Parts: sequence; structure tokens; C-alpha cells
Amino acid sequence: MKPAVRVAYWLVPPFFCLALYWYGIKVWFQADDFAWLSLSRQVHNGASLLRALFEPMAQGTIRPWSERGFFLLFYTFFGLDALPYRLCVFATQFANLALLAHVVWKLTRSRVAAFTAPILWTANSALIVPLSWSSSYNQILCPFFLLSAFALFLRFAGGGRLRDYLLQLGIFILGFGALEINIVYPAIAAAYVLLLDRRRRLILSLIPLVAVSVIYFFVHHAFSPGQMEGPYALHFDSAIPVTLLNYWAWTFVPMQWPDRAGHIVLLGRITLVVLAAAILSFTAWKAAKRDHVPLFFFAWFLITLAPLLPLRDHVSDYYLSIPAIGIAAIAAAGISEALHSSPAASSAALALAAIYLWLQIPESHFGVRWYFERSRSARALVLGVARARELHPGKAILLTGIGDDLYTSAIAHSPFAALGIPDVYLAPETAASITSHPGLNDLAMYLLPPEPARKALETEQVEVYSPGPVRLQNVTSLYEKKLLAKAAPGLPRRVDAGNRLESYLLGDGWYALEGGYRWMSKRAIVHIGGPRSPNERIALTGYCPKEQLRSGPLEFQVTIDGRPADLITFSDPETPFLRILSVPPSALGKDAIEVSLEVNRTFRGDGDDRKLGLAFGIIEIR
Amino acid sequence: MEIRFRRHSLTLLTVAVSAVLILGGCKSRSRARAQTDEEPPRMASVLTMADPRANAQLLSGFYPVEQNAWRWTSSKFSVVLRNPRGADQKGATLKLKLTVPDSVIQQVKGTAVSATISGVELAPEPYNAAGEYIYTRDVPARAFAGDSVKIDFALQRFIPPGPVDARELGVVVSMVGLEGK
Repeated sequence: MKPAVRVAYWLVPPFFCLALYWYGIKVWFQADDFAWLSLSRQVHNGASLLRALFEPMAQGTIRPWSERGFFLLFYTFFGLDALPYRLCVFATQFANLALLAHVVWKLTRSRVAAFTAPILWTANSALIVPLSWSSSYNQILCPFFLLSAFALFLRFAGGGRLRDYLLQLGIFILGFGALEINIVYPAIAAAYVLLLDRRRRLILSLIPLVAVSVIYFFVHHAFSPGQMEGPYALHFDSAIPVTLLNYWAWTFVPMQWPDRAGHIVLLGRITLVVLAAAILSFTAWKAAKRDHVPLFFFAWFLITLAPLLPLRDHVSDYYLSIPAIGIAAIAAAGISEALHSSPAASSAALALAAIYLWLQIPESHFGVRWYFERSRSARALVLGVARARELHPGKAILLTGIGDDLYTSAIAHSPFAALGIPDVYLAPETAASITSHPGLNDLAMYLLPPEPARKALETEQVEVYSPGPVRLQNVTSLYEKKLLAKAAPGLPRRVDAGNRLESYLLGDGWYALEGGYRWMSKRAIVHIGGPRSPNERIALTGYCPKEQLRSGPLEFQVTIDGRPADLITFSDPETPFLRILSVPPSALGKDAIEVSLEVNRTFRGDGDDRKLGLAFGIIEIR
Repeated sequence: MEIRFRRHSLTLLTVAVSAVLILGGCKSRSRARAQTDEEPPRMASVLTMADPRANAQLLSGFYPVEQNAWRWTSSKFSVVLRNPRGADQKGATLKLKLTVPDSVIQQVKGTAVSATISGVELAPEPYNAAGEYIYTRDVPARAFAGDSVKIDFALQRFIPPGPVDARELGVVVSMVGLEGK
């Protein structure tokens, strides 16, 4: 190969990737990113670092390299500058493209196939999310481990050097830190051995790989049992073939394609049938000719997709990013084969590739642009609030004009915690413009009720901001006029003892605010709006530490307007606790009720002279 | 054609990736900042000493902010505050969050804070032990005419200028404000 061709051979796929997903370089943080960014605040020493890296989180996942370690490391050096994070993601993807070309070359011995496979994979819209959202770096890092390990396995198969095998084994084991799907690697190696190279030495070499996966399965299951309900619960039922067919279809026609304006659903279906038939018939034709390379890549598709098929209630097109490698490789091998046969076959193969690219490229471009725009709004909001805090030290920030998009992409993931900015709230009226989403934090935890908002404005404890076209706008005066023109609302029916703006609702018996909670002494008073229906109760959330129970069970009496509610007994530490009690009928319909909280004894913490009862967060009538 | 990972190739690759990340991170600080569109400055009813915009409303008797949190005062100090909403009808509450340092107690045995608003004298409060206090007084509605009001504070005793500190030192203030009723 001439040097210029060689350079093009290696550089065209990454440049194509860069061109198609350019906005993925410029994208900022969003959604789950903020949870990972705030992880560094939990790290104070070696033990907390280990906990932050390896303790199961988010659906029981343990992904130290692709999530926790990635964000911890980059946050330490680059803070909230997203560009280095994105450069790392793209650098890994470029390595993936080179590794894929290498693997395809090794198996097909076709330069055309090795050049085409990375391009077809890059174009697939399954890569939109992994190349636009730092939290899904796992979908880029996992194929890096899989392809690296498999490339070394091929080298071991070719040369027989133990060093290659051990290196492969090491990379495979490290791959568990990227994504759980790494567990299927032995199946990929086994598929290669069974379909392409059945030497006894290679069959035996599979045993350690399988053993590692089996050990990982049991260890992972012991530390992080699977979820029994919710979207991440596994369902081994008749839904699996349906899920498989859906993923199969989305490999060829993007999941969102039929929903786009101007797209004809029938055309999409025809295209799907034609492309799928081409892949299947080429694979079958080659298998019939005892060339099992396409069959191996088909096995790659099925093997890497298999762990996701029982997730009946959580199907996402980006889960296809690793399986799509297999289909891209089959297509690339098919194109190579066609180009070396008749002009008619060449034309047909190129036409099919063009149709695939015509479907995928606009979708990928549109998708990454959407993520970029969404993250830009999140950036203006989050960094704007940070700036507002600099300009108004000591004041709370109230956000108005927040819609569903900004809520789901930023606020619902507590981004301000990542910056260490407390006291940022949503204005009361934003509740009407935000839809509750299952799986996201409760909207109520971000809302400031109307009366505390009014008090905070009157006492100048708050600055009000609204998202503008480019940046956050201070609208305090305007908002103050609007809010104060309305009739004064009654006492809120939800009081956060850990919110300083609601401290005026707390009577005697409370200590100073600590983080998001507040300790009571032996007896403490709260003023709160009364129930509006006989079915409403009072819910108390707080903390009962083990130090409080050293002398035995603790009795806790709630009294409402002088009438005792149920007596609560704490026998075990509860951090946090939730107790829901009935409210005396006399409190029904009252604008304000006095809630007295009293424990039968107090305790003193180590080095703390205060007489402590219980610590409280939210006290709510609901 | 095969990838041959020679040692120097890996080194070059590592250096290249590191360089990209370092160069990418060079302007991290500026890329991770944003601006806001602020309203024109408005007079505040509550001033925290940490707020740089408080300077305009601290008329006299305040020394520069220390530890971004508090200021020493002299024996007399004055502020101008925006009238809280409805103060001209219902009056308001004046709050001065202060600390009486040990040094003041040791040298002058104690002090008392008093205030005057629009000719209305507010009762003094004695402080004879070191510690944090909030001087709180109800201010009648007649003291509030117009949009803002000047408040003059006076201390009964204070540390006079001396060889160690040439300033006249009264108390340490972290916040002053008027709250509507």
C-alpha cells in the first residue's frame, strides 16, 4: 500500500467520526453526568476513594473505569470543563476504529472490508448517545477492551505466544471495570474458535476465560443483586424475541426515524427488509461456502446483545453500539466481496451501503446536535447559577422559567451539588410547567413553596434568575412585583427543616442548620399548613442515629395543636426514617397548625455539648 | 497489513494523547465559567458585609471587610437601607448581627448598642460578655417615609485608637437589615 493510501486508510474513519459527531466534542454535561461529577465530594481519603470507585451504584453497576474513575480523575484536573472529557471519549473511539479495522483485516484479509467496517459502524445512530453524553462512555470503553482482548487472542491464535494470551486475559479482566457486558467476551472467543479455528490448544485456552466470567458473575451478583422490579428488572419471558427483533430493526433503520417529519414509515420498512435480507443472505451464502467469518460477526451481534434482551422495560437504541460492530463488519465483508466480483454485485452492494448511510447519517447528525443544544442550555443554567452565587454571596437562588427540558437534563440530577452550591430552588410556579418523570428525583425536593418564597423576597435572602436566550438573567425585581402582587399564600404544607429559607416556620427547640437537616432538642415546634382532606396525614422524615438508642428504645411523641398523635418507638437506628401519622380531625381545614415533636430523652454526641433528640428533614402534610 | 505496536509507537501515542488532554485542559478555568445578565444595582433592605455591593450603602464608621465575612465598626456607624414593603404602614424590624470580641470586653468591660432612624431613637442594648448577638428592635411606621431610610448606630463604649491599632474599634458586624412585618 502506498504511504498516502496507508495514511488515508487509518485516518479517514476517525475523521469521518469527527466530522459526523463534531458536536459531540463540544457537548457539555447533562443528566447523570452531574451525579458522577459530584462523586469527588464524597472522596476524603483512601477508604472513601475505594468506596466511590467500587461500591455498587445506579442500578447496581460497578464501572470504575468508564464512570466513577473517569469522572473522578477528569474532575480533579479539569473541573467542569467538558472538553477534556470529550477528547478522551473520542480518543478511545478512534482507538476502537483502528482495532476494528485490524480485527476485520485479520479475519477477512480484505483491506476494503477493514476500511469500510469502521465507517459503517461510525455511521450507525446507536453511537449518538455514547458520542454525545459522557455518562455513556462505558459504551465506548467496553468495545475498546473487547476489541483489544480479541485482537490479542487472534495474535495468540496466529503466533501461539503465551505473552499475548496473558495480555489478552489481563485486558479482558480489566474490561469488567468498563461495563458488565464484558462478561460475554469468552463467548466471542469461543465463537471464533468454534467457527474459524478449532485447534485443541485454542479450545483449552477458553477455559480460563470462562472461569473468569463465571467468577465475575457470582461476585457481582453477591455484591449487587439484580433488581426484581422497575425498568432494570430482568424478564426471561416471551418478550425476549420481540426485544431482539426491535434491536435487529434499529440496527438498520434508526429507532426515531419513523417519527421524523416527512419520513414515510413504509419506506423505512422496505429498507429494513432489504438491508436485513442482504446481511442474512450474505452470511448464509458464505456459511454455505464454509466461510464462517460473517457468521462469526453475526455471533458477535447476538452475543453482545444477549445480556440486554431480558431488559424488557428498558430498551434503548444506544445499547446497540457494541452489537452493531458485528453487522458493520458483515456489511463491510459483503461490500468487499461484491467489489471483487461482478459489476452488478458491486453496484448492488454500493447501493445498499448508500441507502444505509442515507438513513443513518442525518439521524446521527441530528441526534448529536440535539444533545449539544440540550447540554448548552444546561451549561448556561449551571454555570450561570455558579456565577450568580459569586455575585450574591449568602443569598439563595430561585429559578423561574424552567421547563421540562432543563429540568430533566439538569436540575433533576442535582447539578448544583456538583459545584457545592447549596440553596438553589425552583420557583413555586414552575411545578406547573414540569412533568414528573419516574426514575427522577421528586420535584418537591427542588421547589420552594409560595410562602417561603415570598418571605425570602421580602427579606432579600434570594435572587431570582430565569434562563435567557444565551445566559441566565436576573429577574428579581420583576418577579418580586409579580409575586407580591398576588394574595399572600398560607403556611406551606411541606416544611424542610434543613432549608434556611423556611426556618421562620420553626418554633422553639431547634438547633442551627447542618447541611440538609436540623437537630431538635428534647422538644421542638413546627408551624405548618393544616390538612385539606380527612385522608391527609403528616409525614416526618429524619434521622435516628445509633447513639440515641444506647440507652434502649426511644419514644417519640407528636402533638398537633395540643392533641397527641400516635406514639412512635424507635428500637433500631434509622438513617433516614419516615413516619406517617394520622392528624387529629380538629386540625382539618386550618391554615396553620402547631406540631410539637418530643422525645423522652436526649443524648450528647462526641465532642458536642448539645442535648440532641432527633434530626429532621421534611415535615409534610400529604 | 497489521498493527505492530512497537514500543516507540506506544510512547508517541501516549505523548500525543497526553498533549491533547493537557492542551485541551489549559483553558479549563475560562471554559467552565459563564456570565449572567444582572439587573441594575438596587438598594437593599438587608446588607451582609460579605456582599461587595453593600459598600454603597455603608455610609460611615465601617472598616474594610475581613475574611470576606465581617467588618469592624468605629464608635458610630451609619447605613442606608431600602424600606421593606409595607413598612410605612406596619413598621419593620431592625436587626444588627454583631460580635462583641473578647478584646472589647477586656479593655472597656462591655458596651451598649443604640440606633436612631429618622429621629426615632431605639432603645440601647447592653452587651457585657463576649459573643455573638443580634440587636433587634421594632421600628414604628412613622420612621419610614420615602424609599429608603438612614440608620445611625452608636456604641456606649469602644476601644480608642492606640499604638497597636490606630483605629477606633467598636464591635464586629456581619449583617444589618430591616425586615417587614
